[in-house]
Amino acid sequence: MTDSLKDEFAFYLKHQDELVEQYDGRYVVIKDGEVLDAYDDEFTAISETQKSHQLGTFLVQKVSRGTADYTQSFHSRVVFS
Amino acid sequence: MIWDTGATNSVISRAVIDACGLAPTGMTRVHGVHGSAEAETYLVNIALPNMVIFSAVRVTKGDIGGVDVLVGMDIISSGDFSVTNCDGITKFSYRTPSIEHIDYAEQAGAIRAAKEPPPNRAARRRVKRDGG
Repeated sequence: MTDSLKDEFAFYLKHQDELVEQYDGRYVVIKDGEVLDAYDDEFTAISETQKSHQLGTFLVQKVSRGTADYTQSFHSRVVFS
Repeated sequence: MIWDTGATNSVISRAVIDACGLAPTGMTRVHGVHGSAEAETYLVNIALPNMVIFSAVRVTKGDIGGVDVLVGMDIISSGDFSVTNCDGITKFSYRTPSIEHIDYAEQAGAIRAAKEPPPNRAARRRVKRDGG
């Protein structure tokens, strides 16, 4: 597990409501407890950010209300750890 | 490769991540038969054996029991997917984009209608007289 991204994911969850107010529907880039920027699509968010930050050190998350954009379901025998 | 209609998203194994030198770009919450957890996500291109390529697919890291890739409904639902068992041989097929719906109940009705015997002379007269 990459602890860095776990922390950034926790940041998103903690500040989701505020982020929705400001960036609803966009993709935010989070690193070191702050939002670096916001983009209209995930690919652009990653490709632009990796010009100045190492891939794997920042988290890209679509901003939206609820849990749908960060929740997945598996009714099979996949194991996640 | 596993095709899994019970998975909302596609999954790749650690072996694939290591072999391709991938770095995570996000995280997600996953709910499975073993409970809930958080897992890293990666943005990848997936090429199917029929050379259909899906670009910038967000996949999740997971242990698929020795399998490299699990194709979930995020990909399956973008095309037509079928499982047939004619002559006791199970086959599945996939195409994208979707072209048409398959309605086996409707096809069965058409087959039954085709097998019905043609109306006799009296029935034909009745239809002609009643205008049906």
